[in-house]
Amino acid sequence: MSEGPGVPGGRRSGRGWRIAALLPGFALLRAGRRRAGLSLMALAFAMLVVLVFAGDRVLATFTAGRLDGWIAFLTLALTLAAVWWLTARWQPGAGVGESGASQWTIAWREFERNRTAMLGLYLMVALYLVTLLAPYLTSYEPNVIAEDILAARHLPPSPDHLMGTDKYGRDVYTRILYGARISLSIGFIAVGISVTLGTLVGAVSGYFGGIVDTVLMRLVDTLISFPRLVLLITVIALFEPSITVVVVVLGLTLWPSTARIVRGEVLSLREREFIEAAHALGLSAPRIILRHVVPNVMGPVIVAATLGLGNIILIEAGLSFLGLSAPPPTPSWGNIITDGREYLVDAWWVSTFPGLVIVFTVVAFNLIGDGLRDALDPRLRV
Amino acid sequence: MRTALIVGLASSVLMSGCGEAERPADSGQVPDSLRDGGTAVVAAQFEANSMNHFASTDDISQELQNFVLFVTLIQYDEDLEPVPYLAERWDTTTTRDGLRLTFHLRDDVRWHDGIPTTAYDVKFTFDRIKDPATAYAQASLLALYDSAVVSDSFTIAFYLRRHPGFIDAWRTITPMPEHILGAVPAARLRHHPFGSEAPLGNGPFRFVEHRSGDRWVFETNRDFPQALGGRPHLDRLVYRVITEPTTLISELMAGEVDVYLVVAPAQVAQIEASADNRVITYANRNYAFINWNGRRNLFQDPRVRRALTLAIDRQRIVDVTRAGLGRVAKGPVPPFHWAHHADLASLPYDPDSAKALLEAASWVDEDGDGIRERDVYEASFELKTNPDATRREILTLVQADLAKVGFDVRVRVQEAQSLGQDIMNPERRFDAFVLGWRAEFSLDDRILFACSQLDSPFQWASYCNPRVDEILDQVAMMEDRSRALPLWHEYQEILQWEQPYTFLYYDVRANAVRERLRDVQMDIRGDFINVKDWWIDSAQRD
Amino acid sequence: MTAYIVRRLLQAIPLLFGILTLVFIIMQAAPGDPLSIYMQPGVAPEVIEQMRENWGLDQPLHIQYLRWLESFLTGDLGVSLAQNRPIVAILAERIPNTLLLSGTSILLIFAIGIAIGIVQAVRQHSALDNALTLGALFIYSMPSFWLGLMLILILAYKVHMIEWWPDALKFPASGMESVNYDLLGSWGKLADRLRHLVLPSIALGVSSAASVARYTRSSMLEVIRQDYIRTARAKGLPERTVIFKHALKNALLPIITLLGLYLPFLFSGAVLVEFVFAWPGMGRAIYDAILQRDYPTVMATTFVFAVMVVIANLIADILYAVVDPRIRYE
Repeated sequence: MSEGPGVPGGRRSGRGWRIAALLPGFALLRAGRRRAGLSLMALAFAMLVVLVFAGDRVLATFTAGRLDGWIAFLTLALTLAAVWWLTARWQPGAGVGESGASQWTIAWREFERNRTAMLGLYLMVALYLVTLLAPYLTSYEPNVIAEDILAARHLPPSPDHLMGTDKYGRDVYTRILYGARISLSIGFIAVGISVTLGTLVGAVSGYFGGIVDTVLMRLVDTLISFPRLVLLITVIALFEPSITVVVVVLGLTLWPSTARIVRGEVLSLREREFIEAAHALGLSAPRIILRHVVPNVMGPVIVAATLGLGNIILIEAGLSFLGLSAPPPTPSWGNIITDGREYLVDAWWVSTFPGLVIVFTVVAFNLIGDGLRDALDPRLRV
Repeated sequence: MRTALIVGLASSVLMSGCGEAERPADSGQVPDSLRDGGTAVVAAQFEANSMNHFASTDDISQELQNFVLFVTLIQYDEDLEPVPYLAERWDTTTTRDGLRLTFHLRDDVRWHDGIPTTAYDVKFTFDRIKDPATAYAQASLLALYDSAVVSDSFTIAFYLRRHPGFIDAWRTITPMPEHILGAVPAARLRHHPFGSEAPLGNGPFRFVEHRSGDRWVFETNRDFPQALGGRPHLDRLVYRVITEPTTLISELMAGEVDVYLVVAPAQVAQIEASADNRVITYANRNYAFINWNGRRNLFQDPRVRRALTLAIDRQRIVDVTRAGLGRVAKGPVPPFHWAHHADLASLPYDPDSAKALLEAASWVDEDGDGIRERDVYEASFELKTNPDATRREILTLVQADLAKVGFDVRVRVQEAQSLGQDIMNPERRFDAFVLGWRAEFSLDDRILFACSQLDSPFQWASYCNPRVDEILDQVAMMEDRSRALPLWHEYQEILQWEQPYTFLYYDVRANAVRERLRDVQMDIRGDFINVKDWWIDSAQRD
Repeated sequence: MTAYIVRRLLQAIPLLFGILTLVFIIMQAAPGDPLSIYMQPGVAPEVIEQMRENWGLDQPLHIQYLRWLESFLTGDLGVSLAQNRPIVAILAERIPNTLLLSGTSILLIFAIGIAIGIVQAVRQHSALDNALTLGALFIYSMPSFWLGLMLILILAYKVHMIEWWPDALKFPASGMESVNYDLLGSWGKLADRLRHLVLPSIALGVSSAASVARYTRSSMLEVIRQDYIRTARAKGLPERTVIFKHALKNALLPIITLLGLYLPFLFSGAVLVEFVFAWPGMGRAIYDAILQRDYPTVMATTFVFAVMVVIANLIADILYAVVDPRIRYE
């Protein structure tokens, strides 16, 4: 890192520099790390804009005492704090990247070089901030129907209603904001379940081999042979669709592909010296699997999980379309599309915008997934 | 007698009244011979499952059987009075323990393979319906019929116990061909390929083809008796299943579909605005209601139930969920029915009176959480329905209305079959739900509200009022309408006061019809009542 | 080769048995009575019991299970509760329709996907390559039913309001053929079928086409870097010959395995797409059957779906063996 005159550590710099250095990302910019600097700056700016424009709603948090208001407030406060902390940490000279070059650091560097993957990451961060800040980003409630429905329904997009209103006069933009919570949570929990289960089954199967492997892999083959959506609609429709059922069923049906990947990895790991060493030390099988095998297969698993997230969001939308996901008025994205589909000809905006949001979200997850694949596991690169 | 619990599945309403049917305006100007020809496509969201009368349960199959492929013994005219069809005439004589009803059939109606339709076919159909092994769904239509005797090929007599509307059954029961199905054991009738692969009719149209999930194709029957109108004008009639409403309206607008049955209410304005189509609306026989579980502490007091009705803006429900296609209901006897109490005023939307009633019933909000309570009970309940688009919307609106008067309503859309199980269970495993009924022309509400039915599947309200029992028992046997009418009125007044159900609205059905298809008449009797007279201008046939 | 196919078929037997059992367990675990669609005010309880007996639903579980297995061995899949006809007859009607739709989509997927992939590989890092990569990514991320609705809204509905829009580019929104299909000549019939296939097969296939494009691109790039291609170029062969004769053949090898991967995916997508486009296929059959609690039909349809996937995988493996002589199956 080259140090310009008067910059190092800010010690010998003038007052002006000190103030400028407080500007988030400025120092990074100076140091030539344009992207990191600009994004830090943009993030800080966005948070301040929210704070200024939604000031009254932020204040209302303290009087209304609503949980999601508090979550939004905490997110706002923490994000701002993090931004300043990062600014301080990345003062020139304040030793960035001094930690050892572990496997993950190398992967991160690789990932960071990938422009589209970073774009995906930014999209995802933005999406999560939007989810958490939802009460500050809109002055409407997602589920409260308009007093005079007939006058307020199906209004086209306008400055008042950025994405128009639906059949109950609810603001579509607001519902999409809140819907992000539902759709993303469904995605995360379901992926969590399937990845955990898949990793365990895959690790056990690959580690023990023999009859255990045969039985588990036959089960995996069986499950994979079902067209996924057919299996899902069968199970969900027969039980009652609710968020819990959807999450659990998604989680319980999507693990076989992860299990297959993990098993393949473990089969090759098993022959490696450190596992043999662990054996020789007399460690128990669960301990070897959890401590030594699983951490070493995390790369492909993370890639599969990220790509799986995008997939699950698409599947959830499809299930909603068939009326097999979270019951109304829950604003999952799929539900919003479904709510609008009878009115598609008259009020195109109700179904179109959530569809576009889904597309962008899935694009983001796919970009990150591809980036991770390149970064973590060059062998898998396509 | 009621026959249909309206369990709309994924698609929208399956609700069907009487009212402004389209009048044949331009008949008489085009000679009949020029009207013959062309294909008309009728489309709807639901499948017509079977042309086998012993097996089918859905409405559209029933209509296609009654009006298209087969003939029934009688039909109804516009005043809902029976008129001859397959039966040329009928007479009744009083016997020692009831009635003898004799039908004299036409001798010129033939099955499409040339064999005449006779009294033996009717007898065969009657016997199979009475045989429990057939498991004929609407066997209760003939519950008070004892036996049938054929006196000659075209004369059949039925022995029955006296009851009002005894002839109504013959409006829907469709005689099946004995020479095809006679040898099939009753228990196997239902599964016979006749129903979907090779139905042989005797009606104005012949069967051509069926592809499940896709279409039924019928063609004109040139040999249909002149006395019954001769050959239908259309060469072909196609019934198509199109599940998605957007797809349906696109096909109508593109001219691929001539009739779109049960238009989604939201699409009506759009269709009316187009020059090529018109919308025929009529009040059908369905009504929607909320059933309150009378065994729950919260719903035991009639004042609370009345307050609930007063607090729900039912006109708004009609405007929002049905685009105005409906009338606020006031009881279980819809306006089409002769016994309808026209002078009874419907309960208004009046949240203030609702609050006053609730206070009077000691349901007050003492802890200030916005929800009323009494003793240890909270005014909190679960409102369920099945996955039908309109009903889901009703839940949302009811929830909002009731929150304003201090009820905590949790809504739940439950899969139709498992909802059915919960509500028909004698333990009544629900708080309240929204569903629909279809009122039959021959009405008997005992199954819904009689004390004797408390443990049977359909007494969902667990409502019991000895006076109501008395009235329902009397009207069920009273053939003289002028004597029954005051009783019917009293019944409606009592239910209005006690509100075992909150009656939401009487349904109005909208059907879209392309302008090129002329002389289409649809009303409370059905969508295909005059399908024989539909015709397409020769210039507009493709 | 034959030995290999036989062995694969034998391996499929426990798999199919597992599928059958799983489907049975799911059906039995589900709440709700299959006969409740018949529970109407006019229907006496005895009628329901009679039906239960007629359908064998009053038997104990293990008997029902054995009967269920037996029905597959005999090929008689029982009678549909909702449609009252043999399930075999329903499947015989529906399977060809789904295969037609999926088959067309497969053709579309590979034709478009490979073509775009080649263009991208040849023009690597050009603006066109980047635009196509981005476009493919978006298409890949679209919910198929939403794309279907949008296609109908625009290409089947809105275009009827545009005067100058050519009739040839207005597509039917539903069904497999026009009402006047029987009256058309054989070319007319073919054209009519194809027009009806356009929108649904696009909605179903386009996202997979995007992913085939990605695979083709990277596979091509890998091959192009190989020595023998460099040699071919060095020999002065025209670029066209190099790409199509030498590079493409080897680049396409891994693509064939994708076939097995996409089929289950297509069958899944078919449920939604058939619903939107009123396509009378297996997907609609299973969805209707599930809603009506038509257990025998659901079981049979799910099973057939799974079998189709197993067969598809087998075909993909065999194809791979055929095209790649290096692979020996022992």
